[in-house]
Amino acid sequence: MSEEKSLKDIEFLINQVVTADTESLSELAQIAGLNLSQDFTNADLRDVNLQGADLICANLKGVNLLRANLRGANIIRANLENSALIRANLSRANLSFSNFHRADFSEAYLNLADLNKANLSNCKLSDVDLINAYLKQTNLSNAQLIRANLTNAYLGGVNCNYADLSFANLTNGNFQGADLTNANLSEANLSQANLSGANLHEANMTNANLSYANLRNSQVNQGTNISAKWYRVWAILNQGASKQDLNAADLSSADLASTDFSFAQLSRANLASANLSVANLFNANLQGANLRYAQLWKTNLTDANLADAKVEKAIFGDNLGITPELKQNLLQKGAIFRDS
Amino acid sequence: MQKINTGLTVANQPGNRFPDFLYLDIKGIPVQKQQQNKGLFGGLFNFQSQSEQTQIIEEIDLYLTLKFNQKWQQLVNGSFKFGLRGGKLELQLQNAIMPDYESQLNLPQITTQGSITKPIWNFRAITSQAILNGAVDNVKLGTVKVSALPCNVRAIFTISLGDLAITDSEGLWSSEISHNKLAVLERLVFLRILEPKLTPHLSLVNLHYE
Repeated sequence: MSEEKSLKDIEFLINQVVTADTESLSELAQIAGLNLSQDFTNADLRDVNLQGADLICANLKGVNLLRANLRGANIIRANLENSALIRANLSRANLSFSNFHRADFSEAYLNLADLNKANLSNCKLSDVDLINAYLKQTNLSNAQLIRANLTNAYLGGVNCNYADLSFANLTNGNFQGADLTNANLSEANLSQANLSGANLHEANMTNANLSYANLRNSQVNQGTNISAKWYRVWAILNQGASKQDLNAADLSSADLASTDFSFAQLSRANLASANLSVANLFNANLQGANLRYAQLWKTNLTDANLADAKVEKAIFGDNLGITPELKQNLLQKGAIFRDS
Repeated sequence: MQKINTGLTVANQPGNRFPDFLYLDIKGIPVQKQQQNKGLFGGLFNFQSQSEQTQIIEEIDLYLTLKFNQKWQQLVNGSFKFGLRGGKLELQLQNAIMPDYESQLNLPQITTQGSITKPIWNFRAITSQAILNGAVDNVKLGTVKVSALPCNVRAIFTISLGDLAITDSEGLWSSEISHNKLAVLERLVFLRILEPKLTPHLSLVNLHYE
């Protein structure tokens, strides 16, 4: 084919695209004789609209999707290695089983996105919105997630080896069985996070907020950088607290539900706002302990010493071992009873 | 062929496919004897580990000239202008190494990778919107240390489709065209018109020393 004929054909295709009555990138590519899943590696697709697009098994390696709208798109088993997704909207998108190794997601919206078994190793994910995202067994090793918002995200079995989660909001995140070895969790908000079964060996948890975090069956070692307060909570949950000397210990805002504190020494301990529901405080010494705002629903208080304990706004209910006299005394001191 | 007073013969064969779009030239100037720490041909210059000592018989300073421009491509009734967002300059060294390739050319548009036998300079416009424009004129790229003759230095400038950008058009589409249509049109002309012309390389310069 002569070059002139070829250029004429291409100009015809250009005109077909320009006058096409569609904005679907897939349809426009087809009009141009291209395949969206194969012919767009390293393409400049900034600001494009791919909302709800089907990109299953697509090869979009190195593509620039800056500010692109990929809301609800199906990007399953696709290859987007080294792609740029800065400020892209991937809300509710299905990215499961796809390869995003070394992709840049900085400031992207990934709320409610499905990242099941996706490879996000070495990705830039700082300041991303991953609220309610599903990250089951996602590979986040060496990824940067500084200041990322993972509130309510599911991260069961996730690989966060050497990931930087400093200053991230991980409130109520589910990290059950996660690999957090060598992860940077400094200044992260892990309040109410479920770290049950998570491996925290060598993790940096300096100044991390672990209020109400579930640390049961989590693994810490000498290399884990954790504050003395939260290490004590971890030890109580994983090594037991019965008969332990916990006098004056700071256990405030800790999730200690169902823990066995029988015969423990807790005089002057700070248990303010702690969750002690269903815990066993049989014969525990709580003399002078701070129980303000603590939850003590169904807590066994049989023969516990509550003399001089501060109980303003502490919530009791359906407890064992509370005599009518003790109940009256606690009520007078500001306790709340919610017996069923 | 250019005779150098050290006795080396230097052959420079620049091959720029579109010199008005991208012009590459590399010049080699043998380092004067008195400037070296040790003799040109007599001394041993150790630049690698003890177990990998290599005898250096010559040092040659390489100077780079690289000019970037935009170019119009005519179709039948319309035309478009394109430029480069980035590109890759690679040296393939035979019987030579360039240990200082990471330190000589310090420009914000350039990052280095590769190795001392295959150094690579990646050029990238500073902002993602920008196009590479202007010139690097006879700037020192580094010093090649020759271990044996004949020595060959091949400089290749290559691009990928992601390095191309359309910067203007006439008679093809309106400037108000949607992002989706423009993305497809760019890909169409890159794949069908520009890739066959601009690959596998845009420029190739071969320096031969014997």
